Amino acid sequence: MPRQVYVLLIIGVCGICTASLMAQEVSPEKVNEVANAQMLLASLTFPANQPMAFVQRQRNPLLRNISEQQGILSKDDAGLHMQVITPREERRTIHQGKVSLSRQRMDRRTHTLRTVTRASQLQIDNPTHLVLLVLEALLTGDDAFVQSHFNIALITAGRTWQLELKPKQPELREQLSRIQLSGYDSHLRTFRSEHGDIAEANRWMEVVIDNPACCSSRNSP
Amino acid sequence: MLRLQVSYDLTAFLPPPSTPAQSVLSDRLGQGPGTQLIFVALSDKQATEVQAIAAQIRSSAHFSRVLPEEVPITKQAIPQSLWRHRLLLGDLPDNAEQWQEILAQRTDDLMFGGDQDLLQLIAADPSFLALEAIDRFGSAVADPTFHFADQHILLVQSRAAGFDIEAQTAAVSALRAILGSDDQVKLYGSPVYGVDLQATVRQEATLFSVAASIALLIFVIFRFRTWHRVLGVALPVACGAAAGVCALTLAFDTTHGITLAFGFTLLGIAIDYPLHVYSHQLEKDENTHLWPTMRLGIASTLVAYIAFLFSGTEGLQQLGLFASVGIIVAALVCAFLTARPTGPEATNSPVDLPSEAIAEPQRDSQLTFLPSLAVATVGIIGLLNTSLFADDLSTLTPVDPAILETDVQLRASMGVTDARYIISIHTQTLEENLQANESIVEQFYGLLTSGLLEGFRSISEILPSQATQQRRVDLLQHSQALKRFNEAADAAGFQPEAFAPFTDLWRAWQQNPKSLSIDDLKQDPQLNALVESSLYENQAGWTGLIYLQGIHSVTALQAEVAQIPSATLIDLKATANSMVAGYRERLLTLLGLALAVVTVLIGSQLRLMRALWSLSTVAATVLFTGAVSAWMQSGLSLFDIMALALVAGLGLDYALFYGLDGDQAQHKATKNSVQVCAISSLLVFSILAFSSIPVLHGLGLTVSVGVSCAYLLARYGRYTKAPN
Repeated sequence: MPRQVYVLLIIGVCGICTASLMAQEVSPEKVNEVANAQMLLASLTFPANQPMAFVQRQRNPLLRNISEQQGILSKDDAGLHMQVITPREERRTIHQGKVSLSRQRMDRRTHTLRTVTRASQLQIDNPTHLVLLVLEALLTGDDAFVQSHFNIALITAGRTWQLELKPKQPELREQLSRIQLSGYDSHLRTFRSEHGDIAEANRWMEVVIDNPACCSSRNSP
Repeated sequence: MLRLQVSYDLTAFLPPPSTPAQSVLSDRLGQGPGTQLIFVALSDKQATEVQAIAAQIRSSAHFSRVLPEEVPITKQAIPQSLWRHRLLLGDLPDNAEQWQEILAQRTDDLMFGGDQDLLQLIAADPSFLALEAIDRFGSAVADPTFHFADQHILLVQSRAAGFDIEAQTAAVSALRAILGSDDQVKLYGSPVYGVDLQATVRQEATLFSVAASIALLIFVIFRFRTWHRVLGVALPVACGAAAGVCALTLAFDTTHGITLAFGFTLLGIAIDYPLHVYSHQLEKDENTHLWPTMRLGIASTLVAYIAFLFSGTEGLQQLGLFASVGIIVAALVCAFLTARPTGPEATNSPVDLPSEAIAEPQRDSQLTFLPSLAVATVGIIGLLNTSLFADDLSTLTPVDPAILETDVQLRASMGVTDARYIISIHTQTLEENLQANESIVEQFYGLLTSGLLEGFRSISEILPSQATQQRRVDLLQHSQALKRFNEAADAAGFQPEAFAPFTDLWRAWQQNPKSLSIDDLKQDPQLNALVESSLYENQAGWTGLIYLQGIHSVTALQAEVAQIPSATLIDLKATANSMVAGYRERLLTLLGLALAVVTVLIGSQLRLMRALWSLSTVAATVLFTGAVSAWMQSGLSLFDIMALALVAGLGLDYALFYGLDGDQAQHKATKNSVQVCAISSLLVFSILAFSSIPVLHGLGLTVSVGVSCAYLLARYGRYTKAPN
C-alpha cells in the first residue's frame, strides 16, 4: 500500500479517537454547575426561633381541586415545626428522623374533642417520608443528607435560583419523581415535590415560605 | 424409664379452682399477653444503633414483634380477616357533618404527596374502620414512650408461650446472642426472669446436690469403710427412685419437674434404712427390734405419702406415688442387701413379727416427756407470735426486688396491660359474652374520659356481637346512607370515582352482607394468639377477658365494675394467694388425717407410754421447727409444709429407735445408728440451706432445724436411771 494511504489512515484513526474522548469528558461548565449546586445547598439558612408564614398546596388524584393549608413555620432545638392554622389546626414536628403529628379530632366513642398525636419514625424508602426528611434537612442545614440521597442539578443560577433533586434510588424515582427548590440568595422560598408521572402533574405538593428577611411573594420565580 | 416425659405446667400442682376468679387464673396461667414481653433497655446508644438492633431482632424467628415499629399504613398490613369485614368493625357516620369531618381528616392525611399505598387505603376505607379497630384493640394508650431513665427501650414480643420454658430459653438465648455481652444493655420481663431462674435453679440444684452427695459419700465411707456397705447405702435409694419413675411413667402421660425434685427429697428418708442396719452390724448388735421398728417407721412414712394420692391435684398425686413406691422398693432392696443367712443364730431377720419383736427385756433407762414439753411450749409460743403461713408466691422468687420495681415502671410507661388486674366476663353463649363486652366497653370509655383508666383492650373491638354486626348491616342497607356519603365526598372536593373500591364494596354488601365469626379470626395467623388470650370457651361456658392499662385507683375501679352486671374485676395476685391458701388447707387436712392414722398404727404396735413419748417427740419437733422456719422466713410456704412432713417422718424414726428399751450395748448400737442417720440428713440439708433459691433454702433450713431438734429430743428424752 502506498505511504500516503498509511498516513491518511493514521490521521483518521487519531481523529476518531480524539472525538470520542472529547465526547466522554465532562465539560468544565458541568463540573462547575454541580459544584455550585452543592455550594448553594450548603449555604441555605433558616433562622431559628423566627416564625415565618407558609402556604402548602397539594394536587392529588383523589381530589378535584388543589387543596391548600396555611400556617407558621419555625425551628428550634426541638425540631422543625409546621403549625397549620387553616383550614384545620394541625401541628407537625420533624426532628431527627421522626415526625410527630397532632390534630384535634372528635372521638366518635366519647364524643369529645381531643388531641390525637401520632409519632412516626420516618423511613427513607418511603417517598412521603423522604419528602419530610428532605424538607427538614434543607431547613436545618443538613445538606449532606440531601446529597447522599439525591442527584442535584442547578437549573437557574444567580440571586434567584432553582435546583432540582432526583432520588438516586431507581425504586424511589418511580414514586417520587423529583423535588424542585427555588430561592433567593441563601433562603429557600419554594419546595415542590412531584410524584408519579411528571407530565400528568396530578400528584404534587408545594410549600411556599414567606421569608421577610429575603423577599416577599413578589420575588418568587 | 426411657418413656419418661417431663413437663413444667404449673397447673398440674394447682388445686381445682373453686371460684370464677380462680378458674380464670388456672385457665390463663402463663398465657397472658404480658408473659411474652421482653424489655430491652439500651444505654449510651444512638437512635440509628437502636434501630439497627431492632432490625436484627425482628429478623429472628423467635420474635413476632419489636416496638417501636413503624407499621406502614397500608391495607397489606391489616389482617385479611379484618380487611374483608371492615364494614362491620365500626359505625359509619349517619349524617353529612360526620362524613365531612372524616373526609377532611383524609384530605389532611394526603398533604405530603400521599404514596400509592396510602391512596389505595383511603380509597377503600375512607373512615379507617379497620385501622381504628386494630388501633383500639392493639394499644389503647395514646403515646407509649420508648424512653425510660435515659435509656432507649425496645419492647420485644416472643413467639413462645409464657409457660413453654424450653422455647423461652431459646428465645432469650437468641436475643442475648444478638445483643452480645454489652454492659449497656439490660433485659427485663417474665421470660427473662423465668429462663434465668431455671438456669440458676438448675445450676444451684446440681451444685448443691453434688456437694451434698459427695459429703454424704465421704461420711458413709468414713463410717463404714467398706465398699459393699457404701454401695448398700446408695442402692436402695437408687432402686427406689428408679421404681418411682417407672410407676409415674406407667400411671401418667407426663411427669412434672417439681414431682421429681421433691420426690427425691422425700425419698431421702430411705437412706436411713441401710444406715440403721449397717450401724447395728458394725456394733455387732443382734437387735431383734431393728427391722420391726424400721417397718413401723416405714409404714408411718408410707401413710403420709399415700395421703398425697388423695390430694385432688395431679402434681401431688404424682409426688405421692413416686415417694410411696420408692420407699417400698428401697426398703425391700435394703432388706435383700442386708439380709444375713438364716439359721438358729439368725436373730436380725427383717421378717420377724412385730408384736413379738418389740418386747423390752430389760430397763436401765427411762423415757421422759420434759424435753418434748419444753420444746413444744417454745414452739407454740413462737408460732403464735409470728406470721404462720406465707401464701404470697412472689416471696418465693429470687429475682432482685429492684429489678421487679423497674419492671413495673417499664410496663406502666410502655402502656403494657396490667399484670395484676383483669376484667372477666362469664356467660353461657358467645353472643352473650360479646354483647356484655360491648356494654362494658361503652362504660369504660367514660372511665377513660374521667381519667380513672388510661386504656383497655377488648375483643369486641375486632369481633362485634352479631347484634352489632346486624345493626351496622342495616345502616349499610339504608337507602340514603350511601347517597349521603357520595354527597359528602363531593362536597369535600373528592373526584367522583375516588372511593370506588369502598362504594363498590358497600353496594355488594347491600345485596349480600357478610358476617364475621370468631373462627374467621382464629384462622388468621396474625390474630389467633390475641383472640385466644381474650375469649375462650370452657366447660362453664364462655369467658371474655378485658385487659387494663394505667389504673389510677383500684378502689374506684372496683366500685365502678361492681355496678356492671356480668363483669368481675379479678386481682390475679390475691386470687393466686387464695389458691395457695386453699391448697395449704387441703394439704394440712390430708397430713392431719395421715397423722391420725399413724397415731392409731403406733398406738396399736407399742405400749401406751412409748407410743405417747414417740408421738410427743415428733409433735414437739414439728411445732418447734415450724416456729423457727416461720420466724426466719416470715411464714411457712407450701414447700416448708412438705419439708415438715419429711421432718416428722425422720423424727418418728429417731423416736422409735430411741424409745426402744434394751441393755447398754443395744442402746449404744441404737444411739450410733440414729446418730449416723441424723448426721447424714443434717449434712445433706444444711448444705441445701446455703442456696440462694428461696424454695431450696427453706427446704434445707426447715429439715436441718427439724433433724437437729428431733435427734436431740429423742437423744435426751431418755435418761439413765440411777443405780439403786
